Amino acid sequence: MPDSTSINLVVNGTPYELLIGKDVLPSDTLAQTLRDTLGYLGTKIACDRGACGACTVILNGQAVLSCTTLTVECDGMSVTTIEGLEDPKTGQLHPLQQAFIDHTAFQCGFCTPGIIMTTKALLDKNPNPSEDEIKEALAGNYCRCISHYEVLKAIMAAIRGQKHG
Amino acid sequence: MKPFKHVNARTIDEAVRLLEDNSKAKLIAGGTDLLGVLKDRILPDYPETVINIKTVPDLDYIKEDVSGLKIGALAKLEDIARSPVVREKYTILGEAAEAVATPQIRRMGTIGGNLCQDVRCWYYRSPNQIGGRINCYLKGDKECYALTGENQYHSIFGGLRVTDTPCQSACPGGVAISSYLSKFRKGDLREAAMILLESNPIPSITGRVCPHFCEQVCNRGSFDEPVSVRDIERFIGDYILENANELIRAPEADTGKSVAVVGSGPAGLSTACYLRMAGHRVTVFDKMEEAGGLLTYVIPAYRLPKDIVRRSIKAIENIGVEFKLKVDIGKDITLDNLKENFDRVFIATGAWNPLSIGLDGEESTMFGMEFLANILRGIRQTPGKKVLVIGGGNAAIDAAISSLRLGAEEVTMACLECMEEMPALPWEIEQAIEENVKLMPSWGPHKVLKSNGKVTGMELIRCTSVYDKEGLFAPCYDETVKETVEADCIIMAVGYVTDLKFAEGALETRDGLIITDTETQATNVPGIFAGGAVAHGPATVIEAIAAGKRAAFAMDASLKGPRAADKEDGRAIEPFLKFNTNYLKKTSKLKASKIPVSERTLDIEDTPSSDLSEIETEANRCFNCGCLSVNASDIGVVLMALNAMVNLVGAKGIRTIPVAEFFNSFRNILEEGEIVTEIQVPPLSSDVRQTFVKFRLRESIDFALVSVASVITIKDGICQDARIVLGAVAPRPVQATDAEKVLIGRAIDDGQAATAAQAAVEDAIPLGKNSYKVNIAKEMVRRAILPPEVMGK
Repeated sequence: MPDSTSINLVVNGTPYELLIGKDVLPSDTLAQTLRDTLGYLGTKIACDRGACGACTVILNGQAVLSCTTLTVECDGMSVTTIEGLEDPKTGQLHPLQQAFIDHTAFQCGFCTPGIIMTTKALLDKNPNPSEDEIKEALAGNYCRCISHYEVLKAIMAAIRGQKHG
Repeated sequence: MKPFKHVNARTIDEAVRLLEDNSKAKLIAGGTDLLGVLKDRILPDYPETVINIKTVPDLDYIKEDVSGLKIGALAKLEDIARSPVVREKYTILGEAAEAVATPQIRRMGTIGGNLCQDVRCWYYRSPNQIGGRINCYLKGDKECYALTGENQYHSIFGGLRVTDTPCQSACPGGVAISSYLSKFRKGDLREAAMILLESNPIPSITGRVCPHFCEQVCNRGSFDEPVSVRDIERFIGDYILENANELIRAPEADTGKSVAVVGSGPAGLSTACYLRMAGHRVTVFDKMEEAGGLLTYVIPAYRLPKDIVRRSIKAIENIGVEFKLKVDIGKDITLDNLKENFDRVFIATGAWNPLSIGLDGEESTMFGMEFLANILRGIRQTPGKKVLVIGGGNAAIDAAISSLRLGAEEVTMACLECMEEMPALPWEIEQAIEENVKLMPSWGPHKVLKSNGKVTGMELIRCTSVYDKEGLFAPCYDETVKETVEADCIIMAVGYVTDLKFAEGALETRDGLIITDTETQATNVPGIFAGGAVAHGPATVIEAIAAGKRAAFAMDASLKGPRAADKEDGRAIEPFLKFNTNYLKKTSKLKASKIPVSERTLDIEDTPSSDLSEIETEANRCFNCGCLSVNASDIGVVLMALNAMVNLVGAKGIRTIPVAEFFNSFRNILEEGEIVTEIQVPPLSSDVRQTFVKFRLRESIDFALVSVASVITIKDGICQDARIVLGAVAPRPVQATDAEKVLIGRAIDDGQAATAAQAAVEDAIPLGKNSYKVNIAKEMVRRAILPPEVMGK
């Protein structure tokens, strides 16, 4: 069976058809495609070796490393990036994003999109995780500015906020 | 990433086909290891095609039946860690999966990919972007940099051989040098001798005269000084001569086939010995009174004692090789006679004729080889008071030194080459200088000077260059620069040529050499083979031996018919390469003693034998080069402890092998185009206690410094069975069989656990910077043995 000449990818609800060889090369990572081809610059590339988690996006419901995923292997899949969290109509931030701002859960902010996406995927499956479960889920997201304490506070607050609000 | 083609495989069979069709293809499953390897371009071979097998359906199952647990190769590590059946019964597999890298990677990585991931070593994995890729021994280059470099995270149990070591590759005879040194270090002289004899039947001789190309590429050479293979080879060679009857054995049965060998120099002796060992009747013909060719008649006795040569030949005669001497081919016998009377013929007649250079007065000079032969025949006459030797090779040096030892007052050696280009070996030149030979490099012979019919000297002209741009011999002279050397004897040692009159009209030749096949030494005439100087020109003894061996194997194969392919039934686990870590510091090469210049003679060997302790020290200096990386997969460690099997599918079909065997070859046992498809774990009895411990610096992303998996069966308080496997301590997982033995049949208490832990690291040979890993390994084994309630887990 010949491989298709294009791939279909939905990013934050927007469908894209990408021609292989033109829009994407077989060697392009999802992180490259999102940033360089489609302009979703919220996804960060830091180590580019799958070690830091900064490039984490949600692919078909799973938090994965977009730097270690080939775009051509994502045909028919749906991606959510940090840009996809705000309300598309009102532009209002997602409660998780707002909680990170409220708790100053970042310093330089480079790792933040990855941390938020990992957290979002966790909460989608487990809306009420324990602190340990959050720590475990975020074990692959590194932060050089030591924002982890504030991150944990922010996430716990977001969970509480959702529960009560 | 550098571009590649990408193909989705729909079935495993399709993936196997794609791998077969694309020699430069790589499989991608989870991709978490592969993409890093590609981005960093750590491998010299970049794939043209990446074959995706995630598109193969239904290969991510985790299921259990009566025969145990079965996991499809594409099962994700996270799914394995969370699988109820794994968590309930195969707990250590779940723990190991859970301990891999990070949640994201566990979500993407597959169990098949985890087993197949490349080794860990920071030299090996150093990104191309950082000052260029490091081409280490595992990538086919010569050296493992971890041995004497930064080895904090490397093997503590020794290395694994990947390809031939540089020394073995450099040896024209392909002698497995590190292997025989390894046996020697263990005190197994006999086995060392047998390995040496596999490639060289006269090591006592080569141990004295071989230039030892092996030493020039020895990895130790870039650390301090190369291992003196020469002295060790000589020692073991002499041991072989002492025990020749035991070590060089006659065949158990005769094949009834016959082979004639013409010439009994190194090529002829080598062929004769190997053919006889293979069971053929071998007759060696030689025109001289004694066998040995240049070994007997050219190389001076002070370098190669003649009793060594005679005993080496005797050992070959003793296994049933017949020597017919004073038989000159072309005169006493013909090629046709031999063809008629023997099943195969090997021509190794050497190169014995002087090369005439058309010099004015050349007829008044002496031929170097004849000069040396006469000395060895016992004709001891001072060639002259003032001797001039023309030539820059080892025969010229031999002629010069021999002249001095025959009583010449002044010996000069002139050659076309400049000092650096002289073909003689550096230590030969050193010796010539030491013995007062006057060297005149860059001078060409021009005219023999005579007075009253007697030689009085030679006029030399300046040689400005010897080789042209292509490296071909094309000397250029400046005739305006002249020098006269007084001499009453001129010895020409400028080259030797073959005498091929006997072969005229039969054997194809080129430039005075018989044309032979490079692999088989076959000539154009079926059944006739040739090797040594008659086919390749004058070269080294070991090159002649190698040609003789090649010819012997080809003749043997053609006489016996194609050999039945060796059956591979269950490969033995290859032991780790050990070396003496005390010698990883700077040491000096053995300097074999030499008798003082004033006491040197023509007949007594200049270099006495080294004693055993010196040779042992030198053998300890061998790095026993191998790869010192560590295996990366903790899952592999656990699967080995669980006695798991792995299914491999390739072009030749399916095979199921133990995981232990999977890791036996380097990286893994996968043949080109083979794919891991399933992992099978046998059921565990209820008496089994399984433990997995992983020691690492950070709880996330990090690889193990040491991991240990244990599966221990306890009945009535007594250990019935134990499997303990260590990871990240050697290039493949290490089963601690000694530790297991300590436990089996005993109650496990603190004392037993400590004893077993000690046994697990008894064999460790830590490198300069990783002895801490031995302590960690020991403690991890102890923790993996004691029950969790004791460990307070």
